[in-house]
Amino acid sequence: MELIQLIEKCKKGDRQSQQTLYNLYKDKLFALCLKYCKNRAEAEDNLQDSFIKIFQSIKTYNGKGSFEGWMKRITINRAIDRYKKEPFIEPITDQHLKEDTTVAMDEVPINLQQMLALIQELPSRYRLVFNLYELDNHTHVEISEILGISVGTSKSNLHRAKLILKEKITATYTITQKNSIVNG
Amino acid sequence: MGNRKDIGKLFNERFKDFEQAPGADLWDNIASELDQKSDRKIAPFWLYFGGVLIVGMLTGLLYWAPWSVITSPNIEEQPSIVNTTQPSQNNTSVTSSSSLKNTTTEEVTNAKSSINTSSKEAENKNISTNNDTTNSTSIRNTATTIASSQNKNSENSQIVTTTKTTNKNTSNSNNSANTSSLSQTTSYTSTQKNDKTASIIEVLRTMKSASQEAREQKELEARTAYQAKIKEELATAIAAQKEDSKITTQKWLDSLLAIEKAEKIKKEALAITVNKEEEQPIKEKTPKLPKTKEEREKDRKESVNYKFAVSPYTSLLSYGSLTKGSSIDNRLVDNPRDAIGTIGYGIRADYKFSERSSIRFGIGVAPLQYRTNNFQVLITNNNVNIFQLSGIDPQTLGQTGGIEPSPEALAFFNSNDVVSIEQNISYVEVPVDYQYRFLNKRLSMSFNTGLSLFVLTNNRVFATANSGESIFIGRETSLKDLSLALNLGLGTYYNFSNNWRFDVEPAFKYQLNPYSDNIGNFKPYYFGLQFGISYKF
Repeated sequence: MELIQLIEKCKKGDRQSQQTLYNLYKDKLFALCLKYCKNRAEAEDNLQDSFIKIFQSIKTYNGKGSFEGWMKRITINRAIDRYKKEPFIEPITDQHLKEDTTVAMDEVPINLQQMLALIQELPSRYRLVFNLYELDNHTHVEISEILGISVGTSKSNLHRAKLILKEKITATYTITQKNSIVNG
Repeated sequence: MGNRKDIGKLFNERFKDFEQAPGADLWDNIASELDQKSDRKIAPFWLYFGGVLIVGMLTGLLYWAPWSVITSPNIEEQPSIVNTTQPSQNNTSVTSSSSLKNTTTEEVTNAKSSINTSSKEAENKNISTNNDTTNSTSIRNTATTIASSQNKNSENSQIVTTTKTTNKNTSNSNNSANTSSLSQTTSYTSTQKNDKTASIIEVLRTMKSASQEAREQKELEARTAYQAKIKEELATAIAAQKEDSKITTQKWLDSLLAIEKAEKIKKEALAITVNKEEEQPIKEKTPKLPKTKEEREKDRKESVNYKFAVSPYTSLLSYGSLTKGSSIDNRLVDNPRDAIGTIGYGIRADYKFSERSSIRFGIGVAPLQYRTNNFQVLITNNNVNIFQLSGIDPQTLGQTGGIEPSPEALAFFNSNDVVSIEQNISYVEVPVDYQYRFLNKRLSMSFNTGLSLFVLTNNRVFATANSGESIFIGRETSLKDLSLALNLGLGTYYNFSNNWRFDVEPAFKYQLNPYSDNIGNFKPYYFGLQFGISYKF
């Protein structure tokens, strides 16, 4: 069955087609949720909310633009709604902006799940900005509109997020090195 | 520590194709929640239906229940209303219908007890006053009945006063006869009544005198008048009651209508609220996240992605020559010449066979005009030199070079020494072009090249005076019916939607072989600025 037909059936509320659509996109959207949420449980909640939203609003999808992109936007929106209003205190200084945010590739022995955990451990604001900018290719102007912050704040948040990630990657590398020395 | 990479890029690369499966039971949760939501969607209908049902029931209840309470007792208990009103005229306390009912019941009970009394009275008609001890209870009951009857009918009270002194039973019988409540008692009572009446009549006869008879007659009249008055008052009271009941009914109906109206407003408000609640999620449904660069790129690609495009167009045309030559006569090479702007039109279709390349076919009409100015007219022996030009064939006019022109032509040239020679040429053009898009975005640009087949459809030459007057002088001799042209164009397109495009194309068309005999080294071309709207699919 082609995607267009599937969408049409979903618009009519056909449960079988909804399940097919779910099965088609669940992995991609869950990956998105995992990146935007704090943990797996919240990611599953977000995915559930997102799919319900998708099925409820699928009638508004007019066929223009990517359907996957449309679903992704809904999913990201749910995550943003979830964390946007979390209390967050902006750091006062921006001196850190000059700090380097690159890492030596040989210091990155961590796997994808560990990297995911690092993203999830970020404060929600940083996590959202980092995801939107680095992983989903939004501009700072767009992020400022989405999150209701200034462009400068978006840039600052991104930089801080990167510094935290760098710090944690380095720490993980150091621990791994120590362990390897201890274990001989 | 050699190769370093930005954290962002590192994560972007690693997460590029990241996918992970959620819990297996997640779909069940989604499905059950969807079921609940769909149930909730039905709820407003049931709510609506239930609301209507409740309103209907309430209306019915309000309509029927109080209606029966108010109306039916009024109709059925008219006598008791009479009883209620009558005592008030006699300055006694107003008795409610229920108390009257009690009274009636009491009367019946008392009537039963009066049976005992009366049975004894049958044995001895005049002992009731002296026999208080033996039948005191029953007599008292009877007396109570009588008293209540007296209260109800004052007319009886007078009779009672006249008869009471002689025999209590007489008053009893009179009261019984004139009281509606007592008429409901047993036949035994009526027998007793007859006996009593007889005794009364007998007593009355003995006591009767002329004055008494007159008095009795007077009383009878008074009684009749009173009864009439009572009847009249009764009728008035009934009418008033009916009017009251009508007003009450109207009030009820009004109140019911008000209730219904209120319910309707409530229902509508509920429906609006429900609708708003249903619409609310739709508003939220609109994704607020702007499109990513990739999506914008995809949209852009979609807007320039098509297989076929059909484009009607119109063009501003200007005819000219690449060389200084003249197609009419090489003696006119030095005469000033200019193109007259014309408007062509046509339709074309292009088929896109690769992302940047397409082939285009079309058909159009290209009317062209070219003017050679400052032609000095010379008339010798009625021969006009304009007909001697080598490139113009006046044969179609029935003239040959040097032969005398028509009188109209002669008159024209006699009055105009200097004229312009206007060539009017029209082609039906069938172009086949290759298009290469060197800019393939929402605003696209292409280089177009190809060949056009020209089919000559009009070939006429006119002499035009400065005054604007013109005369047909012949046709160009060597113009070919079919010729080819080389096309060069720069297409500029604005894809304002996935299906529609605005086209502007400056095009240069050089005619390769327009003449069978190129007399004056004339190398014609035309330049067209084409405007069109394309429908893409």
